[in-house]
Amino acid sequence: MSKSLFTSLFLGVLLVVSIVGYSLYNQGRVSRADLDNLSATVFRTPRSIKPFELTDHTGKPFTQESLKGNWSFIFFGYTNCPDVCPNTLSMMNIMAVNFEQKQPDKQIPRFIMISVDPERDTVKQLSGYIPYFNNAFVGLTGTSSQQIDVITKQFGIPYFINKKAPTDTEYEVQHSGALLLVNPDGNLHALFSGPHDAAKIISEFNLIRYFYEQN
Amino acid sequence: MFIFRKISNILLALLFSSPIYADGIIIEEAWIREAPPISQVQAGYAIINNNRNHDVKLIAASSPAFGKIEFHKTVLENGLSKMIHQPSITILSKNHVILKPEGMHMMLFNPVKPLRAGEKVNVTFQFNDGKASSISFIVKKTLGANTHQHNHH
Ligand SMILES: [Cu+2]
Repeated sequence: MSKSLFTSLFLGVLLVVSIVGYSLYNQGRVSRADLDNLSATVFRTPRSIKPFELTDHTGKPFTQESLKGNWSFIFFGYTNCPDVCPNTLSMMNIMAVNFEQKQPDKQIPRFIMISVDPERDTVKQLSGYIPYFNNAFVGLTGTSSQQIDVITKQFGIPYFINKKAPTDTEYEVQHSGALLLVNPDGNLHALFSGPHDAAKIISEFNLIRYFYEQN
Repeated sequence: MFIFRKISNILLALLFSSPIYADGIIIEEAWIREAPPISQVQAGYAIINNNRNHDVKLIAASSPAFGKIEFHKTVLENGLSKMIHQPSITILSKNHVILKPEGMHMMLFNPVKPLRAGEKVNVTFQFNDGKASSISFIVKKTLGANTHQHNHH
């Protein structure tokens, strides 16, 4: 009696183990080598982020601590940018909508634009700009370029304020098109270089996140 | 997804009114990206065909809806995305130039008022032969301009 109970228990456990094993096998475990083949640069050791202090588009402070608890996609731009920035923000919106519809059980990553033009991009300016693309998006600015540089310098994000004269108010800001990915520990995890494609970033991000959650 | 894109392409094609003929210059898919109301700059795009027997230069553009219009080309150079001012755009004979997101574009400065999707805006193109033509641009909201492909060759 107890022997047959033991046998059926054993068989039951065996069945569960093989179902789990088979489904894991079927999903194909993501290996480090798979991540090396992505177009994104995935850091072997995620890089910690030095303390910074910026203000979001609602006027609230935003620091490196604010990045914890969720994945974040970070893009550098400015609101007086007619072509690349709205194009990238629209693409980020496609990504956000896709995450919401295709992966409703997962937390939607944060989407952030850090202004590289704090002189014109005041909190008020950002508040009239960022929510247009998506209400959940976050715009960050500072009171000086030095505040922005704490972040751009540590990640080697180039930008150049192309002022033709000190009085120039229509200046262009040349900036990197890179998209940074910060993990829920608040560490820089990967980097996507432009030109960007929403579908490709999503599929690569899914792999990156799957590998992160496995380890 | 593919079918959706096909359908949206057809809808887009229907949305754009018939091409504008200006003495051998045909302008298609003329649109301006709707921008957040606070924006002081916007971009406009179009396909400019030159069916003439000689090259043509687009030397200026103006519109009552904007303070100033320039031609720019977005380029990616050493990891930096920059806009290079173009004094003119040359359209070779029997050829075309495509103004598109993250490429050649009309840089529209200081909109007189915020433009909403669906509105039409007249832009006057000035060519080097002294002729000018008025083109109707439609303001469009782009869910993501990256997926907007011009199947035009
Ligand atoms: Cu421009």
